[in-house]
Amino acid sequence: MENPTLNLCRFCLSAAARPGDTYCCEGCRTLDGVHRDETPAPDISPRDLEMTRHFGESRKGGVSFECHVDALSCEACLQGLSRLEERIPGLRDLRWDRQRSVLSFAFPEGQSRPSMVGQILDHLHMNPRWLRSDQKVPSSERTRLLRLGLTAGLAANIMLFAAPVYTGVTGELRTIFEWIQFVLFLPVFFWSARPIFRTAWVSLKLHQISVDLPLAIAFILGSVFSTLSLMRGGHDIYFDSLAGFLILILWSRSLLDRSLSQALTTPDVSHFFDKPLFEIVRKDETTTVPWDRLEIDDVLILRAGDRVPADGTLLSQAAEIETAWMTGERHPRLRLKGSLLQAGVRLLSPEARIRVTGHPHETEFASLVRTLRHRGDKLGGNLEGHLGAALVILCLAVTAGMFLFASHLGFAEILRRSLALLIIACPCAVSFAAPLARARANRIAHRLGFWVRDPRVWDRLVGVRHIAFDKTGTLTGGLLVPSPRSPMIDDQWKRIILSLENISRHPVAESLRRIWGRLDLYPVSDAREIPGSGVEGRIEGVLYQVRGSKTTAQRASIDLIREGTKILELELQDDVHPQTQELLSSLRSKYKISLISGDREDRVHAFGLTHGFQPEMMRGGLDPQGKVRALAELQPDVYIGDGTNDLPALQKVPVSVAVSAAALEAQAAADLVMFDGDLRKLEDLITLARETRKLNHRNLAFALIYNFMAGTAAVLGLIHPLAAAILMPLSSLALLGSTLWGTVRLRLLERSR
Amino acid sequence: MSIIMILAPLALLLALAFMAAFLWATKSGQWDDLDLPPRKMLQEPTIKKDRDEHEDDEY
Repeated sequence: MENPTLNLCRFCLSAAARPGDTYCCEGCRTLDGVHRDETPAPDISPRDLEMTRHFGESRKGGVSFECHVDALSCEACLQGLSRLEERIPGLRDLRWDRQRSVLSFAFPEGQSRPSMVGQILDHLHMNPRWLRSDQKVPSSERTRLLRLGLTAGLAANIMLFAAPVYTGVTGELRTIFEWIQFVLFLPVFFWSARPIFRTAWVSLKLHQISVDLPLAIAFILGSVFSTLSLMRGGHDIYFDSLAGFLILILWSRSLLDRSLSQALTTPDVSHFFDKPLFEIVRKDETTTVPWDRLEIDDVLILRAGDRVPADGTLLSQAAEIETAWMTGERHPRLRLKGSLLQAGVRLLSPEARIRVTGHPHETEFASLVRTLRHRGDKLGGNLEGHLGAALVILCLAVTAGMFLFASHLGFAEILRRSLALLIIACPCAVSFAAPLARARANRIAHRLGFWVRDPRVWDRLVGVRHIAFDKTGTLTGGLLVPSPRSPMIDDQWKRIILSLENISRHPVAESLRRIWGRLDLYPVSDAREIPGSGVEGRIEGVLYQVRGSKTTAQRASIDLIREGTKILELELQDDVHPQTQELLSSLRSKYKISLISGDREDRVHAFGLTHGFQPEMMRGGLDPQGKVRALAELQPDVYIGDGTNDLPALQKVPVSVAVSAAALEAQAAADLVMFDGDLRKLEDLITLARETRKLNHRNLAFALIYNFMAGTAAVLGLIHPLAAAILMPLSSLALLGSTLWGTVRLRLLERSR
Repeated sequence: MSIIMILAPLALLLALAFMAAFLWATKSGQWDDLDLPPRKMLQEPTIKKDRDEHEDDEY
């Protein structure tokens, strides 16, 4: 018998199903539907042919496709995705490159069904963006893996032939083994170490200190000296130490690069369009093209929900659009034939035709997206970077000092000590400590419901004193709900209104569908949407109309009219999140809070005063650049928004947060994305940042003490370079242990949900 | 001593062979996707039997 309080999802069996549903999410519903569906796959559609023409690449008897997708972490989705090859005829070689966030697959010639794959990916909220062959970027991960693997193999074999030497082999055999080490070391020096030499060289040219500089010096010195010693018949060779040291460096760098590269992707304009191809009429022929292949005088045929890809003139009689990318508001605006529609606005009417008047790359919308690529100077200096540079300078100075003032030790001994010093005191531990701490913070943030896009945000969250909020979609749900003053409505009237609104994508229609849930609809004849007015249709022969009334600062109204007589009036208002009041009360006592919105100024002030904002801390009626000016004036430390009109603002503040319902583009621009939807976790996030800083300082202190003690021992000749090559990674492991241990509060945060 | 002269080159050859295999595996994209193949491996394949051919099967 099922536990009545825990109804598990039918597909994944691990998460609770939504109330009144058998699935936990639409992804599971889609995947279960796909896997249970016994009907034959549909024939190849014209859309499949168009997509194959634009995005397919012929390869080895088949056609391959690649699409950029949003990161996938849900286990159920991964399981479902891995079975797609069984369900979609012809689908093969389905691979997901997590590093690049690219899904690739192939079909045999003549059997391509990319639209079917695209539909499933859409339902899984993976937002596929299809890549043409000229847009595909080869993966650098393979090169990195090759370098790691082959270097490890070579290093291991060098040590295999060094071990007998350490254990006492002498004579001719020793010489042979040393020469074998030399031969195996050659590719390590000339190929594996190239990235280190390159970085060190670039830093020298730029007159900067890089962590790779002492590594490069140590490597070259050690290699040259060992080779000369071998040539002269001596036995002071360090090929094993150097190779072992290099593989450890490459491995730790690889871990670091991976975590940083995942956080710092920048969006392309194509990310903001929901479909890969647009239907157009060009020279009297109907065809489909990607957004960036539109030309002036093309006639775009758009459907409800499409985002306009290029500036154009409206050819249809009238169209309702939503300008959220500029204003942040989803209230519809009416445009008549001949008016200019800017790229980026979204069509609400069922269909519209637009003549393209400008190049798609030259729109204000496209230039706004391009500004996302320049994320502003959020790098700044950081403590571990300066400390690392100081350590490098100190090591080099001590090495130079030994050569100049300790010549009585002999060249070989000085070189041995210098090598040991440069290896053991390499500031890798210092530069490793902070990213480790941040990686742990990222993990805890994920449990709290935040996805960290820029790991450097942890340093900036520590000093937060002032938090600014967008209104619609952040503190409110962005929808309209019946106000408390509205009368209770029978289900019969709800069904009539929903049946009429069923043809509309108007925000009022979307809101009513969301709040009234699933009701059986009446069949409607002669249904039509009148732009700027409402909807109407006949139900059982009776004419019903739903008309919008004028809006005030806080409310909007719709009337239900039957055969010309008003039946009822429904007042709607912004749906304030239930936790907004609690959140703002809690924050007000510790932080300064402000409200910055694109909504009408009177609405913003009415809302703000109700929720405790100071009048001088509220700004309304702002376009994207207006928000930037407001932020420059108020100078908050954190800005929380959701809309496309927040894009420039999200880049200008020290810390930007996009809420879970945020537009895709806002998610791409923000430092943090809140996917859980509970803004009350914001305070936990700030605590997390402060505890991470404590952990960081502890790790740095350990790294500095270790470097000082081990460095001193190396200078005094107490440590052999091989021992140094072993001690250095041991110190890194100790730091790893310290990071995993964390602090008391970090462990508490990790356990809380 | 003479046995070392045989074993040492053999060890090197073996190492080279493994590195060549690793090179081939990486270049052919074996490591590109570490998520889907392990899951595919653990799933039972869905085998659609032809009804006429397997009608008398016990299961």
